[in-house]
Amino acid sequence: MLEERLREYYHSEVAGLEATDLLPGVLAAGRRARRRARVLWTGALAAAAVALVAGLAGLSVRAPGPPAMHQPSASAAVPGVVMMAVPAAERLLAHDGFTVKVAREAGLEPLRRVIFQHPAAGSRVRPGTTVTLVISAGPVTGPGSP
Amino acid sequence: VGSDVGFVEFVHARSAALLRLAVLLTGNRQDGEDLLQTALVKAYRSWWRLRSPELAERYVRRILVTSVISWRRRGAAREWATDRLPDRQVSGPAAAVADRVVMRQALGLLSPGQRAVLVLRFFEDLSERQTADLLGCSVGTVKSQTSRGLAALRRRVGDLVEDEQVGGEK
Repeated sequence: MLEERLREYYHSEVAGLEATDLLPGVLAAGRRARRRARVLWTGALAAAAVALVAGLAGLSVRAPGPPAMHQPSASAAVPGVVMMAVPAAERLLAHDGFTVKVAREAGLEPLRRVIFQHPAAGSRVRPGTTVTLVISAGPVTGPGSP
Repeated sequence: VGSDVGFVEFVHARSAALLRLAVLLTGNRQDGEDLLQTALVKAYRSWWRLRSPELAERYVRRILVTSVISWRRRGAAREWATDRLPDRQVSGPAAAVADRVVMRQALGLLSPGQRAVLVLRFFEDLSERQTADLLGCSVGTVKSQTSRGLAALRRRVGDLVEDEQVGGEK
């Protein structure tokens, strides 16, 4: 009885509901978001490439002489942690004396990995600087129970 | 972009039905449109892996129900807008109009989860199993939410039912 009334109610509420054309808004917003994601990824890849080159260069320069790494210095190089799992990235950064802040970016793939870091890998910053990790929070997650 | 063609077709084919679901889940047109738009943007961004209309439909419907539930959980930022004017002029016999207003208010007092379950069961006509799959909860939860929701509705709508029966009008 009540179930029937509820059915009727639902159908009368949306009877003759005319669809709004949401498409233009959706496409515009979606493309903006895609662009943002692309910039993030490009930035992350570029940072990784720079870190790699810097690392190799560092090795070859350092090879002949005694390493000068242990001089107390006013700046430290940020390690590259993009694409690392979050706990590993946190451990690495903490070990190198950085403070870690984690930010989530929703709507990306459920990687639960670092997709972007700031400052970029290889940047020289003051020891103890906060490094922000953007991690993928994954797509919309389940609600648990309704 | 070529890959957008499938998405555009999907939206054209399905947005009317999805909007109806979104409007019933939120209780009003404006929130329903906002909800659907957000869900479609997410689907668009994930289109490369959704591809087929069936997967996309499932994905969007899942976003609709799960995000409407989490909206409400997050607090009073958005309220069930019973005091807002209906989008269309309600017409018909006075009794039917009153019936709808009472029903709308009664639904507004349910929990978001109960409302979602009722919409899925009695508007979308999903089975308990399908509802549970969509919400990502157990069949038992669907059953208990349904019966609790109906019981709460019955308490509030009950008076009206009796009035009608006494008046013999319908």
